[in-house]
Amino acid sequence: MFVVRNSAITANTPKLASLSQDVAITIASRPSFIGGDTALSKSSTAANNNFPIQVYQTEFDWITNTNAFQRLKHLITLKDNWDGYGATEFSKQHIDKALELFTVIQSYFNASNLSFSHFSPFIAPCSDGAILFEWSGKRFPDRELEIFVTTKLTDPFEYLKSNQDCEEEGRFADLGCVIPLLEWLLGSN
Amino acid sequence: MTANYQVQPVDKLFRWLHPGQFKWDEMRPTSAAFRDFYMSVDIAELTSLKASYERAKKLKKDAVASFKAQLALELKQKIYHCPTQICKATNESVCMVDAECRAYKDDTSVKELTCTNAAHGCVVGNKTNSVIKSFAKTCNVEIFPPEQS
Repeated sequence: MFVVRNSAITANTPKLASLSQDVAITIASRPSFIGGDTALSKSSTAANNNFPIQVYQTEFDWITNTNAFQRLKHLITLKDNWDGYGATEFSKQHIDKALELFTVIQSYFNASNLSFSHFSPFIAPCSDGAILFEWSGKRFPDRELEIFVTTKLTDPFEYLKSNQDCEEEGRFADLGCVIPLLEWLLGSN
Repeated sequence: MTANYQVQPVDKLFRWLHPGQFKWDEMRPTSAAFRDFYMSVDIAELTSLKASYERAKKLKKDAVASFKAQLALELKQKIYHCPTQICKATNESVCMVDAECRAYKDDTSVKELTCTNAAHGCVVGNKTNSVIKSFAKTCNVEIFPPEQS
């Protein structure tokens, strides 16, 4: 199953999905895309209108689905002006960069024998196009960490670590630099 | 075009939230919602929460946060009243307030404009990660996103 946001399909099936809604479609011959659930461009979808399709609504649940990996993968479904204020869509290259960071983080917690379900970051799309990894709130009452995967070519990662006493901001390019931040979050440095 | 409103420190500003920017289990917005050099808002003095929310829903935004202009000013931001205007010829938003804005056009390049949101304002300035966190921590949530079934 793959997800498309398209008006061409919905225009022909008004009872099934309204304009600009994400819809899941199932087709007999599935095109191959890297990365599983993949949003198609409008032109791609139009080309697939020749297939007999089943259409039903499966809009990604950004409110209750907190799975970090799934949220990262579904950033591709956010199209231009997704925030209503003119935000641009996320590129696959940008999301891949965030997935690389996610992999390093997951590996760190697994290697430390810590439950990733507890230490998994909350992922959120930023209005300026960055991707937020957040360890904050009730799960992390003493130390909070935010890492932003920006669209900048140099030093694409920014961070903010904060506790009750102080805040510290910085940026880095090497993914390995995230390890000291995670160690700080856990209170081990 | 009517004269632009001078935003006062006591003014309340509405900011729409995308569901992905809201942490539902803690009922709070994240910093992600405020990370924008040109941060659009609705000026409460010029609209109502209900009207702002109706505009948000049309764009599939189903939550609204608010903060006082005083907060933005304390965080070294500038606040402009810049009504959303759409150029009839190109269907693009046009800003005529800030020459640095990505939507800026001078008077001579656009002719027919349609105002779609007279209460629109812009919180302009460099927003460090500390600044956007301050917005997220300090704002009030006026309308929470509905839980999806």
